[in-house]
Amino acid sequence: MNPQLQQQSTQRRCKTSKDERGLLRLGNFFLSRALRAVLGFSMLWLFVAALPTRCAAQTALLSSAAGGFAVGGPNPLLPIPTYHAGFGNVNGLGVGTPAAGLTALAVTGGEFYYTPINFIVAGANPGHPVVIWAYVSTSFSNSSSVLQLMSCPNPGPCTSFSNYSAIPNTQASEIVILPQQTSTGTFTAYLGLFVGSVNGIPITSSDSATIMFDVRDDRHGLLSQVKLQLDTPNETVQTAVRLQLGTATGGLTITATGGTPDYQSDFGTVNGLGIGPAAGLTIVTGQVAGGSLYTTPYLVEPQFSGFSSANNTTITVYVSTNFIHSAVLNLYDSASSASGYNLISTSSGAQTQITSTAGNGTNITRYLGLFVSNANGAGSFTGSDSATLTYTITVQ
Amino acid sequence: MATGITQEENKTVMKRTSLAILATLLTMASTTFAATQASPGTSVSPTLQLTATVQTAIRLTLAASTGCAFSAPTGGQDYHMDFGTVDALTINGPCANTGGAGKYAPTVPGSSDDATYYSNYTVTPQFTSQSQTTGTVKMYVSSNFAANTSLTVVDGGSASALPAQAGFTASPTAAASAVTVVSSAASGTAYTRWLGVQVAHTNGASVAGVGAQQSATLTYTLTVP
Repeated sequence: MNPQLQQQSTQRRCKTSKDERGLLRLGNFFLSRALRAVLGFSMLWLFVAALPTRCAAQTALLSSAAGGFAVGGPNPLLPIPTYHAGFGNVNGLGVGTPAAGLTALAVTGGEFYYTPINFIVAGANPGHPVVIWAYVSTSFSNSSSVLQLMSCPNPGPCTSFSNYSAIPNTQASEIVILPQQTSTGTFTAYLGLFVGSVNGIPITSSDSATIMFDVRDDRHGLLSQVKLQLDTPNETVQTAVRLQLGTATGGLTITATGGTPDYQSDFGTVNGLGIGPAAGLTIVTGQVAGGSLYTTPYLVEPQFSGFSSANNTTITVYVSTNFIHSAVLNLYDSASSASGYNLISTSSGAQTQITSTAGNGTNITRYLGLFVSNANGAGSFTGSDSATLTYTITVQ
Repeated sequence: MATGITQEENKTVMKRTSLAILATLLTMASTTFAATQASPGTSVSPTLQLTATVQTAIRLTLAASTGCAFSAPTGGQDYHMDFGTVDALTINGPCANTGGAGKYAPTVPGSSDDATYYSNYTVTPQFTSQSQTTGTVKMYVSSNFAANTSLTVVDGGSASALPAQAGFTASPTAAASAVTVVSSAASGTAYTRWLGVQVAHTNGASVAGVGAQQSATLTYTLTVP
């Protein structure tokens, strides 16, 4: 920040206007109405005439940038031109499609939404270079761990989270969003909103904030301001929940399909004697009589965000579609590799519980067992079969 | 207007309709996701499809019983039983002084029939996903003793109890004539059977292999029809 500048001011709130207001007040006491009119007209002329020399701060308009969110306004125009935009529905996991003009990035600890925005600068020239600074004049109700406004100065690049800095909450520590320019024109900078993947703290669902842009004459210390209220729409912090499955080290490959079912995994060829298990599979003995138990570790990956309370988050599983040859093939679950295998429930009403205290972002290594009967004769079966497990995470 | 709605009222209705549609679209956009995630929401239920192809399987296991011990094979075979030092007068051995191993001395040592050293062992067939519930185990000598004029592999056939000396017969040396060891083998059952080495009582030019370790290889075949 330029240390010569002491106070925020619009172009119409510079010292010239203060002089004008003082004389007019004087007139209220000592001058007749007619004289006041004449004097007032004269002062207005003087004000207009003096404006280019005494109050020549550069100005900036805000507008939507190509591919960015919609910027409306200014409304009101005075005392500070106020523009409106908003990030809309957001969540800490980046679930869903961001609002129009926003790009979402998964970042450490949350999700980052960003957008370009245009600054249309007037009045800048080599004798009056302009710099635009930014600070948050009205903060979100939510804490910065939930919502944090960030900016990336012109000319960028601004496509990586590392390009952004948090916008401070005080003018004293404002940061540059448009470095010094010596000509008028339209300049694009970026605004970003970090949404923390946090739980267990009070969260105001619908929130808004205001960013003040200080348009400063970098040589003469003149200041004008515009502000952007992020209230159209408001920033609505939504809950989000995600449950993914993954391949564990040394385990069977679990593939995300992008469709239905969500994941697939193939035990390959199996037999009741446990001969020749495929890569990633281990035969565990002593758990189930009458056949072989092929086991694999895998990952259960819960994520949830925006919950005021999430201490009792459960993950359950059940066999939603059983093997056709369920007398030959069965699915087992265990928390450990070599023991503790239990038949997975086939009832949605009495599911097998994996955990009742799932943590956001805390992967769980679980063990899945495929039992293959060693039966012969009429009850035997050879060929391919499949079953579907349905996992459910419930944040509560 | 014939409808009784003024133009101004109509505009208001249209505005409300437009807003309602917009609100609906926004709501849909914020809640339509894959089964792995949702926002807003408190629960999701992804699915995992597991596939397996069940094959038939078959296994035949030999193991020492109460007779001669099995040791690690040295020539690429699967098992190794050692009868130790033997002779036609049954002076040496047997490999173990248990009921599972022993020797039959010749009736007239050195002049009539041969000496037989024997041991029990187990044959365990296992098979799964077969249409039949029983199989057959056969055996033959796939590689005979080099000194086969002095040493002969004998077996007790499918007998589970110790055969008499005469019950030990020379094992076949051709696959086509393999002897049945277990005729109706159930999966997972360990069958006790008997093997032996017969030492010829002959002397003279036909004697071979004396003092040198001799070995033969037996091949067992489990078949589930």
